[in-house]
Amino acid sequence: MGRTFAIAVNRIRLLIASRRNALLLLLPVLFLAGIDRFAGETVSESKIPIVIADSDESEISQQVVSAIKKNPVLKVLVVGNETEAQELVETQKAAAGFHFPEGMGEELLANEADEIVTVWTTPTVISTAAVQEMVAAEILRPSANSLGAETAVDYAIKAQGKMSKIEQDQLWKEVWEYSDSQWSTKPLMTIQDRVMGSGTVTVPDPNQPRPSPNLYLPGTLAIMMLFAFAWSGWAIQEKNSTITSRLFLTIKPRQYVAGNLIAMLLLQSVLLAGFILYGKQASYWDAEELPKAVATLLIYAFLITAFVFWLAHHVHSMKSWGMITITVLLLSSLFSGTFIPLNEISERLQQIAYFTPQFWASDSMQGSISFPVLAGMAALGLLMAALTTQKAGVQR
Amino acid sequence: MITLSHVSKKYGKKTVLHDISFSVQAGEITGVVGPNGAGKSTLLKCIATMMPPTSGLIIIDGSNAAADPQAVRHLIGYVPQEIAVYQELTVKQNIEFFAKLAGKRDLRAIQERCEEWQLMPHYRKKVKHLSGGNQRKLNILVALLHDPQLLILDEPTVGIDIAAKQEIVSYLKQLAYEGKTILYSSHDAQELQMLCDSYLIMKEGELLFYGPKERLRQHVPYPYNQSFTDSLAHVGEWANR
Repeated sequence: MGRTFAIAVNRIRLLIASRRNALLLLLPVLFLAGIDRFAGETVSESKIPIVIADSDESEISQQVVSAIKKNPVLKVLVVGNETEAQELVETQKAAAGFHFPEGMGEELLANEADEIVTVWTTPTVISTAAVQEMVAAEILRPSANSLGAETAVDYAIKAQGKMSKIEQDQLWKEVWEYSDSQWSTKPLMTIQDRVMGSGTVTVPDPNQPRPSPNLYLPGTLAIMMLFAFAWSGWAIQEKNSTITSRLFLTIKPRQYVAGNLIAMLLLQSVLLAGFILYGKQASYWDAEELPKAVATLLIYAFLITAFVFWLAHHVHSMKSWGMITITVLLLSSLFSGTFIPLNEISERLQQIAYFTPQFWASDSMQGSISFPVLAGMAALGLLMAALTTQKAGVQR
Repeated sequence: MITLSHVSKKYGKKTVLHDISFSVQAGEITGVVGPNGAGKSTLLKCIATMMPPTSGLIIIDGSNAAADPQAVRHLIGYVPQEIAVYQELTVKQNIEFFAKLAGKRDLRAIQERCEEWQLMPHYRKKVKHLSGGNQRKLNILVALLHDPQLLILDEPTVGIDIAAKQEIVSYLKQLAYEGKTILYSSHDAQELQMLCDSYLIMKEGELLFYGPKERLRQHVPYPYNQSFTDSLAHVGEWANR
């Protein structure tokens, strides 16, 4: 155990001492900073533009406009007249247009909200159903508040027999405010629309902002694989050098393989901790998902480390290793379905996904068959470690 | 100390060592000489238990090295031709690492040796920043960490200047004086002449000569026997006669 530990410590020291590896560590930092920025830009760019022509300009209509503006999914433009709003929809500068007619505020307070607002939409723009739903919710909000307040005042009068106008107004206001504070706009359904060339767009729950999951997970899996390759390159130089001959006079091949695997796994765990912390901070993982994500990513790290270490023992030059790194990383990332949805690629190419660890890691995190998949990944990692021990132990 | 009896080594159908037999006494320095491809490195690796012979016996200090390599490994220090230490680590880190693997905790003896071999001023320098001679010294020192009785050196002075070579030769003589048995492979006839008590001359996997330098002259044909260095430097030529 002491010798295995000495091998592990020495390997970490050597990997850290390498300038190339130190520079490579900038990559995950840049990646996380990049997706943070990208996520911010995506949120802004993915806001759905709508236009509101407020002909009522009452206190209630302005409250409705103000509430709609607070919705993080919508980019709201308010214009003075219907014609201008219609033009913006027709020229597709707005996904939908809403006309608040004169007297809307009064009608809402009178709980007469049916067909009160006119909507213009264009069939070529996605997610209008979701937009209508969100706007309608805000329009119904004062109406529902008003209905609640009226009902409460009626009950109070019935219960007390007599109530002054001031008391009625006071109660009405309190009930309105209470009802309004309970209002939380959520789409009733998740609406998914296919968009040409860019996969699936999900209209998010406005109360649960998240970073771009489309980059975070595949990026994490790809970077971990890249580091598995970068941290295994030494094996190619060392297995052909006399250092291993010297080492094998004092240690057994299994101690050598175990020590080096432990070192690479420890470094992968540090890298992983960075990704997990970022994911936790950016609310990508919630408390329930976190243990499963950590377990999956640790097993993924073990599998790729063992697999790449095994692969390195079959390669004879660093040039070939560079080519293999690029090929395996690109193919497995592209065809795993993590960067590009599987249904975007041909059926034949989709079969490749089943041979990529990224697919299984991603699937076990999102799917329901996590245990067999994780057990399979762990078993495959152990098999690779055992095969590497045999290969490393070949008498030179 | 070492006895080889009818040792052969084959890679597939190719015979690299053919029926080699000899005995080396404890405390002797034996030069292993021969042209490239003679099988010197293979012979040394077989004795160092790094590869098993295809047939024959290798007895080291009474134990069968081929049958039970683990039993004799603590007796053997092997110095490969290449610098088999980590270039990115310091002298100190390399010594500590290989000492840990050798199960050696007390480093005082090796530090004293570093002092004698004038490596102490470079103790905290990275190996890649050392001169060729000092790298070679460290390469030998690492093989001495577990205080082996038998030191096997495969061309340990390749690529260094004469002064450094002479320095290393004098250190090796000191080791032999301390009682260590040394098998020393080299192409440098002068160096071999300075260092060795006996010679083991090989060609194409066969043992041409084994014995003390006094007997070598009788064995080598004219005109290669006129000088000792010629005898060693032209093995390839006289062996073909």
